[in-house]
Amino acid sequence: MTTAVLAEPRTRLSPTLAHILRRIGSAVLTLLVVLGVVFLVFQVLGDPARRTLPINASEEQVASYRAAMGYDDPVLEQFWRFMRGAVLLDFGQSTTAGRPAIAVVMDALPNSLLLATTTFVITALVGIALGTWAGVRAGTTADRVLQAVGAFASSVPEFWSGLVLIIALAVTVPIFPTGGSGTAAALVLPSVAMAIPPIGRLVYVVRESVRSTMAEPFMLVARSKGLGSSYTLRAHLLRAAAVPIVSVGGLELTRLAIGGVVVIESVFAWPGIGRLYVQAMQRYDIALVSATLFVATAVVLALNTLLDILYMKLDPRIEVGTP
Amino acid sequence: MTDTMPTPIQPHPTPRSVLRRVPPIVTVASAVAVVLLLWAVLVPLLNPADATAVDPARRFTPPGPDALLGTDHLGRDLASMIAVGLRTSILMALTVVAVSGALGWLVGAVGGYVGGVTDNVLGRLMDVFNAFPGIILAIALVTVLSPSYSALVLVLVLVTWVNYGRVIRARVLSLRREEYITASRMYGTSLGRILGRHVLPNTGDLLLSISLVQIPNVMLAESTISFLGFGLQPPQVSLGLLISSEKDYLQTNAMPVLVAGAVLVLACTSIATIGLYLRGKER
Repeated sequence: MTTAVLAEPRTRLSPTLAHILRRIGSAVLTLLVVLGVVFLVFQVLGDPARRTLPINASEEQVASYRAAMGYDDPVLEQFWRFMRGAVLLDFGQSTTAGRPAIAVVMDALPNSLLLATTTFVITALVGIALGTWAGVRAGTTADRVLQAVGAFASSVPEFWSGLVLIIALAVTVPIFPTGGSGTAAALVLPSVAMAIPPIGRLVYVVRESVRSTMAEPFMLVARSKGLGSSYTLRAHLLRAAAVPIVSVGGLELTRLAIGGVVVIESVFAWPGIGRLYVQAMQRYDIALVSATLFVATAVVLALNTLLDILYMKLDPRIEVGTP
Repeated sequence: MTDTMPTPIQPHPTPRSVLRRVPPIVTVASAVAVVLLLWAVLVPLLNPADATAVDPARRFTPPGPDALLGTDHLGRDLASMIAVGLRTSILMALTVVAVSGALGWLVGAVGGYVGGVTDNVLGRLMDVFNAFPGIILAIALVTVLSPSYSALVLVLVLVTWVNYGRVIRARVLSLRREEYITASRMYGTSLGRILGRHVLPNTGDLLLSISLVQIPNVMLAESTISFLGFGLQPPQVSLGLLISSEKDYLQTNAMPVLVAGAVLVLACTSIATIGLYLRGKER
């Protein structure tokens, strides 16, 4: 006796598409949560009126500012206004720039992306090259030295390495400018400084991945077939070792794009969103803070989703299922 | 009739044989770390007044018998400044690591052991904290709380605790299946007692190795935050603060920036090397 079979749904979303949609959904949710937290922390818990006005503002000035900006209204009403604006990308006027906050952020964003991308390229090239070099020579003195250097590099504070580079290459020997942007030369020092810790970390990962791939049987087969080492390297080794490298590399890029730029931009006076964020915090410019965090989070989430897609394409063994 | 080979008796490791098996880089790192630690502790004890003594007449004197490393732009003895700053960093790092270790362990152990909805919720909580770039969160929190020592500690704890949570949870997941845990549960032991008597001792090694790697992370984070002006404020001494205030004088005298940073990096790298070595051992 056959049991009735559940009717299959007529249309079926491919698992990949479903996964992507899920990711976008959770990204939107995260953005909303971030906005909510920013609102809560800065507009409700902090005292925006007192903080934004100069120190010597009198109590009446603070009170009238507070009323004018609507900070006296019930929290829910403020929240609704905030969210409504945010969805339309209107975060209000930046108190420090006198322009719509979102415009200020969007002006600065391309600079940070330029810096982050350059840094990423440098990191990828140097990191993969050094890591592979160390990996195929695993266990030798050269490898050990490189490991030590890598560990050292990954714990160098960026503000210090930036300053050291400035001292070495901009003050003692004035090759590069000490700050600002606009010229290609100005891009060199900040991106090199920013690249050092990720290179250290990437070298470690690449070395590990290459080393373990070297031990796999198929590598022995390739060698015994008589394949030359550079061919073996390219055709077999790198492809198999690529997966963890890509995942770590992608992770580094997103971290770079948002967190990493903060310090470097401040040291080199690079006009990106990192420096903007620091300045906005120093002056308690709520509109600018909200706009910056929103854009930053959106960028990170977008990058993560793209990475996910790339990851799935790269290694078909990875299943796309519910985590 | 099979004859089973008696298991060879492992020779009891003598201190000398243990030292021989430790990679030389780790011994070097430990030596460096110990020396720096001693220096950080002893210098402030020997002449407490020196560190923050401002003496504009002595600006930027080169290293000499009076000031071993020279003076900064305010005439303060650089060597003392760095020692005090290093001590502050290490003490703060130890505090942060202790608190966030406890917090992270609790969340990870409870989540891993109890499982189910609790684990899901706690796991999500850890994901949220993990996703956010630490420095952004740290700056935001410190701004709201007004920069101070305790605000900084709180902020750093919030950023570091997740590093414990994830790893402890993984270990607890595998510990759960051990016979002595099952036996304890059959015996009726309470959750708290099981966690304290059984889980904690078996996660101790993890706690130690994670802590040793986190200490330099926290030190670097504190320096970075102080450098940007959101952390410790004068007259408190911090290496980040020192570097920040001296960075405008690079043309005149780059010594403070170079040496202060170098000391910080040395301290962090040596501690991190020890920690990474221990972390590798337990795989």
